[in-house]
Parts: sequence; C-alpha cells; structure tokens
Amino acid sequence: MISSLLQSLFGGGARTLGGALPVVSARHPHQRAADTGAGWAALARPTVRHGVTVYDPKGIPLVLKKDDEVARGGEGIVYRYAKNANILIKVCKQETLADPEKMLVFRSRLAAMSALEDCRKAAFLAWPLMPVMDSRGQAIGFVMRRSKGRTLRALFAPMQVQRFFPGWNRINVAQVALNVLDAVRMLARHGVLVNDFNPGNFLVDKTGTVRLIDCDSFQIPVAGREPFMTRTFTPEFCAPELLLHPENFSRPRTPEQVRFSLAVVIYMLLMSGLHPYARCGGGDPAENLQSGKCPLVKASGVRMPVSWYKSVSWLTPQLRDCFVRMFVDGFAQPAQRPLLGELHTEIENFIVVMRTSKNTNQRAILPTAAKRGKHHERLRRRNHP
Amino acid sequence: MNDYAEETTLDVTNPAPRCPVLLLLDVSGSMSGAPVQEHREGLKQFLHETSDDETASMSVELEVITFGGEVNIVSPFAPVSTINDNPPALSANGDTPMGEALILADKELKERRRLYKNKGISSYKPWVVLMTDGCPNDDWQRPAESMKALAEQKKLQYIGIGIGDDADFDTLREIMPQHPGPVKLKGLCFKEFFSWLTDSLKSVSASSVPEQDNIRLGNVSSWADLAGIPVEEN
Repeated sequence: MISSLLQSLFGGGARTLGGALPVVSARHPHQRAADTGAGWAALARPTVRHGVTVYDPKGIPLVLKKDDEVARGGEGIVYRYAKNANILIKVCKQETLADPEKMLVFRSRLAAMSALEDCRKAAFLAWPLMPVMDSRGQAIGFVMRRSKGRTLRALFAPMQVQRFFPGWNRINVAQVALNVLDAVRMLARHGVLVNDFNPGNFLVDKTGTVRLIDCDSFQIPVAGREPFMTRTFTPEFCAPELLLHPENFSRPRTPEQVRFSLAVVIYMLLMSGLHPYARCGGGDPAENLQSGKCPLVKASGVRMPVSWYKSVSWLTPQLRDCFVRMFVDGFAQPAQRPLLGELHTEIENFIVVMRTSKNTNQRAILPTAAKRGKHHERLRRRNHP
Repeated sequence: MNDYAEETTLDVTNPAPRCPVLLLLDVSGSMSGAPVQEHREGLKQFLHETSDDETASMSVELEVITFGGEVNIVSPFAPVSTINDNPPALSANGDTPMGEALILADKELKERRRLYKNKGISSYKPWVVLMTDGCPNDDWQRPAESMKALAEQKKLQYIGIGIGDDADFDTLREIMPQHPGPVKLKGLCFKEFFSWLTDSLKSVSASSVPEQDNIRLGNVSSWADLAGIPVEEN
C-alpha cells in the first residue's frame, strides 16, 4: 500500500534529507486565547500554568517547570527540558487526560509513530523519540527533538529574505524548496502524509536545512485500518476539492491533494511569497484559490500583481509549465497534477540555469527587469550582431 | 502623498495582507520621568519582538503619533522592522491636545487604507491604541466621532488605555466604543502591555483576513488593572 501511494505521489525515487540537530521550536500560529470583541474582563483570566513531573520508560523523573512551557496546543503543552537543550517534551493537557477516548487516540497514534523507525531517526523531524509516563506508567506525552530555524514565512517577501537570510539569492531559496520537497517525499515513503501545509510548521536555518515540527498532526498510516489524521489545515494551502467540498476533510488526504498543497508552498518560495492564485487587486488567497482563476495563464481573465511579472519571467518554461499543469489543468482534475518527482527535476534544472546564467536577474530574489522573450532576443541580435 | 513617498513607505513586493497599527501616545508634561521612560522601553521591546516574528513583520505597519504640547507624527506608517531600525524618541512636554491627535489619526488611517486599496493590497482592520494619563484640553467630542463609529461597526480595533489615577476615564468612555471600553494600565506595566500587543498582532497576521474577527486575544491580567477603573459617573 505504501509503495503504491509513493508511486502515485512521486513517480520516481526519493532521497532522504539530512540536517543538524534542531534547537528552537516555533509557536503554532493557531494558538490563541478570547474573542477580539470580548470585554476586558473576559480577557483577564488568572494565569494557569502548572509544572509537571513525568517519567521516562525507566521510571526516572523528568521535572518540567511552569516557566519551561514553550507552546500550548489543543492536545498538549510543550515544555523545554532544563537538563537537555536539544529536546522538548510534549505532555497531554488536563482536558485530554480526562477524556479516555482522546487518550486512546493519543496512545495509539504515539505507538504508530514510534513504530516508524526511520522517521524517529530523521534529524529533520520533531518526531516522538520516546514516550513519557505518569506515575502509574501510562503514556501521557513524548520526548522530541527541539527544532531550530525561521518559519518559511521568512522567505515570503524579498525584504524578509534580505533581513532574515542576508546574502541569499534565488538559488538558495530554490534549494530550500528542494529540501522541503525531499522532506515530504521521505515521509511519504513511509506512508506519512503532511495534513497541514502551514508554513509555520516548516523551519529553515541559515544553511538551508529544513525541519518539520508538529509532526503528530501528520497523517500516520496504521496497518489494516484508516490512518490517524487531524483536521487541522491552512486554507490557502489546501487542494480545491477540500475547500470546495469541506466534507472531504474528514477523509484521509490523497497523494494528489498533497501534490497540490506542496506545489503551493514551493511556488510561494520561488516567487517570494506570491500565492499562485494571487491577482491584481488583492483579495484573500483562499477565496481566490476557490475561484480557480490562476493568473499564470491569460485565459483565466485575471492578472498577476504587477511587481511579480519579472520574477515569473525568469522561471524556466518547463518549471512554469509544471505549475500551470498543477494549478490550472489540475485545479478540477487532480489526476492532471504533475508528480512531485517531475517538479523536483524541474527545480534542479532551474538551479542549474540560475548557476550558469551570466545575467544576475536570473538568480535575483527581486529581478530588476523581466526576461526578454524570443521576439526581443531576435530584435537584439539583429540590431547588435 | 507623492509617488516617491508611497514607494518608500509601502513595500509593494510584499504579498502579505497589511495590518495598520496606529499608536496615539500622550507625551504631555505629566508623563515626564518614569512614565515616559517606561513607555519608551515598552515601545522598543514591541518594535524588536514584532520585527523578529517572520509573520507579524510582514503584515504589521506602524505609525506613531504623539500629543504633548503639539501633535506630531514621530514615525509615519512603515513596516515595523523599518521603524525598529530607527525607533522614535519620546519626550514629555506641554498639555494634552488629544482632539487634534484624533483628527490626525483618523486622516492618516484613511489615507493608508486608500493607499492599500489603490495598490491592490489586502488589509486587516486597523488597530488604534490610545494611551493617556490625563484629560484632553482641546475640543475632542467631534474629532472622536469618526473612529468611534468605525470601532462600533467592528471596522477598527480600538484600544483605549488610561495611565495612572489622573486618567480621565469619563472622557475616555466618550471617546471609545462602549465595548470593550477603556482599560486602566496596571502601574507602569508598559512592557507587559506591549508584549500582549505583540502576541495579539502575531495572531492577527497568522490568520487570514476573513478569519481575523474569530481570533482570540491573550490574557490581559499582566497589564490591565480592571479593579482600578473608576466607576462611571452618572
């Protein structure tokens, strides 16, 4: 089943992604606390932050202080561990602990994730490394690697790249895109699909190494039954068949949906944050996406925001065609979406073109001129033989 | 505003929706000493932390208007990271021309939103933070109407903060929408307030524009003195 899933997702083979040990975890953007319209009294709550003591599988206590809390999600609280800066420990919240059904899901998913040894060993994943227990020996959390880096949003505007990654050009960003692709391919080799392509869940450091956090939100395979999955999603990165038919969110993600979502992330990386459905006049990316009108083709009737024409013009025709088949042909026909293996090859070719070009605009994050078309090139040669 | 100025304060190569934030700060003579010093430190911390967040730094555009003796735009609208490179100097002086400041704030917000619209840039609803330790000594009733109406229509996130025991909450209640109304700062907890503001703006910028009204703001216990707000006079 896994091999057929892989084949349908990527076609060709995949390679693994290496990387150094992670260090800082990003806060999940969906962690929020009382409505904007609520009165001040509703927003003033006593601060409830508890420390907790958990036990490793050998029964050794791990004391987690309340000040060590780094993030709080729907299911658990993530703590740093004072005695080891390279790990984080997620512990289920009281509400989760009090719900036997939720704990059954948590423990079953933890077991399924722990069984995937290659994922556990992969340094780029904040994967559960070992369970932590309560005083009765019941699993109530897990230890994971602590990840270091900026979220992909740090690459989503030319000014951001300049500030967070000084000296980077489009080659560096394309290499990050390849690393993101490789990370997702490696997971899929083990039947694991990324449910939520939130750029906040992908961290990148100054070496271009990509690390994935919030791994327990992934779709985890289980032999003989439906995979574990969460309903978390970020609308602007969702395949149209999910956004237009929300009932599909309760079904396992398909390889075609993953291809589409990943391609949105990669396009945005290569285009300095421009969403593939962004159009002249603005609008919400998720709403634009649902319309299906992608400005990569004239027939869509919408135009790309002016500043990005130059960036698009320097993509190779093959890479651009790949995106057209993904976002235009593949909008309503998921089977038309190119395999990620093809996308990988075209990004590699794009990197080669950028490396060998004498024109600095070819590898500029913000090109100062658009690439001349064949017509202009013929004119130039005729006038300046 | 001429084309050159637009290009220098609005990064059209940034595809993120913008969240205009306007700080309307009382720097009248009564704020001199520790209050203005704490205020300055809190603002610096806000600029640093918001700039360091890769999501908020793409969306938050800040303008700082001060009123103390005269009304000044000490930092015109610009990406928060740009202002962080050159933070405004706050110094306390003079009386409290809050009405004039409200007129300027309303005009600046409208111009900024018009600029976003002209450039096809999506935006979140603006945030205005009004901080004062006294009462206005100019005409404020009419100037307050426009932004109050916008806030009542939920087109503006309006936060009014009274500093110290001399803050005129009766006037603030007239200036602000009834809900959530003004709130009193706990002591000189400017840093705690600005930390909360940073977290709030991170949440806003991590949400989509249609989702912005559903986001949930964090706990205000660290900086809001709810028990200290004087009871409304009848």
